[in-house]
Amino acid sequence: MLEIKNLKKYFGGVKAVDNCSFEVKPKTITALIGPNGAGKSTVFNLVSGILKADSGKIIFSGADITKAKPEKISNLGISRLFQQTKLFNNLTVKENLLLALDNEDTKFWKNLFSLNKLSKEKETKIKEMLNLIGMEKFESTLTRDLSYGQKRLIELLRTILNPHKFLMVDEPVAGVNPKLREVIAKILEKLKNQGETILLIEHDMNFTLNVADWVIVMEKGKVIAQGKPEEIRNNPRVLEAYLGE
Amino acid sequence: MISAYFIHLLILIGIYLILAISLQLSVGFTGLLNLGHIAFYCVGAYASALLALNGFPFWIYFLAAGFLAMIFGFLLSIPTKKLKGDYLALATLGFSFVIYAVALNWTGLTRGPLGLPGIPRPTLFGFTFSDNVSFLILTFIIVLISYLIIKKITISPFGKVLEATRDDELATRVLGKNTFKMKSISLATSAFFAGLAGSLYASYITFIDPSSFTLLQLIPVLCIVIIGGLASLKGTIIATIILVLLPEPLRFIGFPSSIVGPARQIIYGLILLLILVYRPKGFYGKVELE
Amino acid sequence: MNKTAKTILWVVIIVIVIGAIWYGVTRKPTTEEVIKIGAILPLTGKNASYGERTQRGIELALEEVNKEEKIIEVIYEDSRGDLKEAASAAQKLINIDKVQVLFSQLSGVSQAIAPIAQENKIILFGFTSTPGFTKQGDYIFSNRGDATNIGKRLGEFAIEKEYKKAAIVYLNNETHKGIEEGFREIFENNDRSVVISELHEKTETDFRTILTKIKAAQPQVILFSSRDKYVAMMLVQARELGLDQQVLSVQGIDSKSFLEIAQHTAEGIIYAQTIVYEDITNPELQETLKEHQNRYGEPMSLYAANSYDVVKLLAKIVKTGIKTSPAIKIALLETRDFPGISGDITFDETGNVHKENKLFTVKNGQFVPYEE
Repeated sequence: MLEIKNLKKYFGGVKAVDNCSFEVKPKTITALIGPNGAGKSTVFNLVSGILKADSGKIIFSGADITKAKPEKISNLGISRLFQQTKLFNNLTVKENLLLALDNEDTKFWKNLFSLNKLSKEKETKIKEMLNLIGMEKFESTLTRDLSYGQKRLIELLRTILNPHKFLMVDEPVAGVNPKLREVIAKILEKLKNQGETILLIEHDMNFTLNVADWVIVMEKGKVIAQGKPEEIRNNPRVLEAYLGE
Repeated sequence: MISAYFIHLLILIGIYLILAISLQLSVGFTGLLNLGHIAFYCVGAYASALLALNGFPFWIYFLAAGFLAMIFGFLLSIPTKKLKGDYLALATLGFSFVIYAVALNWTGLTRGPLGLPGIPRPTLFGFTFSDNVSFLILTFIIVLISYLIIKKITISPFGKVLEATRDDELATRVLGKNTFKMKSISLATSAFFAGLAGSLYASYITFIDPSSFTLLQLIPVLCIVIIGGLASLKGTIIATIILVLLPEPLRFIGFPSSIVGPARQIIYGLILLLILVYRPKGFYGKVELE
Repeated sequence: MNKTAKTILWVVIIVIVIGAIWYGVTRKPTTEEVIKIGAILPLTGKNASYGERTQRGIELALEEVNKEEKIIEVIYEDSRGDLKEAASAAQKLINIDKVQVLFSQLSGVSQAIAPIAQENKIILFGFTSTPGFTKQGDYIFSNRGDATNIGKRLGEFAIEKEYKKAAIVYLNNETHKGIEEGFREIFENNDRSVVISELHEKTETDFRTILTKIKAAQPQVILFSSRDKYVAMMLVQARELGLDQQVLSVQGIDSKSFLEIAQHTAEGIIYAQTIVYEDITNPELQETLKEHQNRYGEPMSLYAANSYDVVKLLAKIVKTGIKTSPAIKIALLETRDFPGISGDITFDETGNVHKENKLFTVKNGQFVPYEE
């Protein structure tokens, strides 16, 4: 599904991503782990087009997206959750979610002359999603008035609602209370059962090793190991990288 | 005739309303710190005045003013598409200076600081809006149409994408929206209405010179947008009315002749300051810009 | 902002408003016999010094004409040089205050007010030299005369002096453009040449580039047609660059700030304007000149003289019982040789004056009439 070949990105003298190659297979949850500054988020930013690679290639479903713009990549089917919350703070929960559904809303003339009646289909879709996480009451709340955990949930919903073939999730449970963590884990589980392909960054080793099918370990911009969770758990090199932090 | 004085003030309110709600579209709803608005107003006023002086009918020069300003708005959006916040403000400010300099120095076209006198009042279907009452009606209709269009844009899903771009452009792009296109359209639409306001202004005062289009002239419009509250059309309307009318009662306070000018301005400034002290986000401001 | 600051702000506003209202209430109530004049002047902003000088002339004249009984009241409005502001002020003065006469200063503002005054049949005196200004309507008057005449007078002087080549720097506005045209017309029609003519903007303060070009062109006489402080800066910079030719200039440079900036370089500059102090034999006018010098510490400027003369002329008409704008208009057009500080006033059919321009110079730091 996603293939990364010899990807390189330097920030001045810092080798953020250094000759990094890996592959994400369809219908799996792949976890990208590693100590702080290992280059995980940089890889995400390169894949979603926010940063441009110095060299190397990113292939998605057979298409080279190394130099594509973020909106193009999104429309090809890559949906992404950021590490820091990036909700539209002055819009309501519902408006935030509606924005993810399609790109009809960017058509100026159509919007100027249509009645903007919200379709039943979209309405129920959003209701369903909110019900799933028990936040149906918050539909008309401005997202800036939500708690941090609620923001993470809504943002995750927005990422999922954005039409996609491939999900990239950057630290969904960091800083979230244990109860919400379970909810998020369940959502990921459910997505996996629906046959979604997910690339996950997560610091919490236990969380990661429980949900992932495949684990890729990065350190100083390089992939140092990959394999099934149980293999990684006992890999001395990985332990060293983590403990040596 | 108290009414003639008020009619004049209502016409000014109308012109400022178009300017302010269109600026609100780019600044408040899209988060573009657009200081080029006065330049679009200038382009509209000059385009309208020159065409009117050359005998073109009202509907042509009125729309031409809007469209020419819109083209400038679109052109400005291309080099500035990656700029944000202060940098965008500086770039658009530079644009305003350029347009002002052109109006001042391209004397062959604009007559420079001498200005363009004798601009005719609009004529439509054989009727000339020569007296202020009919001009007020014309202004009112144009304000109403402008308001409805901008209101429609802002409440439509399109408007929500503009607001999303304002709140977090990167997140909007990652949702698959072409935000450059969004910002271009917002700036061009905003410029279009500024151009229309310019045309109305030129036809009403019947004389324009570059001094009406300096940065100093943008400040009251920006004040309206801020005092009304970012991304609030209702607030903008109230603020326009208050800010245009506020200096008027001050004319009736009997200051000694030697301090009449400065005294009024000091009071005006103090009142604006008070409003912002009590309502830092303006009358109806909900939006917080980062 | 904390509570104390808010309270202070409120107290300041309340004190100002109460003070102003108190002042308004205690002023003598105006009787119906009084005719009102609305003066729309630049009282704040970068042109405030012009408004101030015009205001001085008005105030001096008012003191004289209202000495026995109040017959004229002047209501001031600040245009700030802004057209919209000026239009609002004109509407308010005409419709609320019911003024019969308007004064306006600065050419742009005057152009914006002219259609409003004409439409309401209210007399407008534009303190501007914009060529053709008074032709916009029968209620539009000027007491300045056409700017081209100033240029012509200077041109004649240059010819008398046998100068063959002239250079001009002029401010980019209607008045100074008119002066440039007047000078050029006379000078070139007498087989002499204007070797260089450059315009400058109000934003400029460094004229060395223009002046260097002028130096290379080697003229025998230089005309600086601009406002006081610009002319002063040009003079200083010209002398600095070694340009020692005779410098000519125009009305309005006779200010304190001109002398302050130009210092000794002001000596010997020759300028033309319609003000005629030295010829004044009328003791009343001489008294006024003295009064102005005493009160404001500088000789009466052209701006003050212009407004002073107009108020005096209007007072004379009002005293005969004429009180409405259309009647005053007729009386104005019938006026013949009304003695004024800025020259005797006779209006042509368009409402403009043709006053004789006289030459002045600076001698020992004083503005004095020029003598051969």
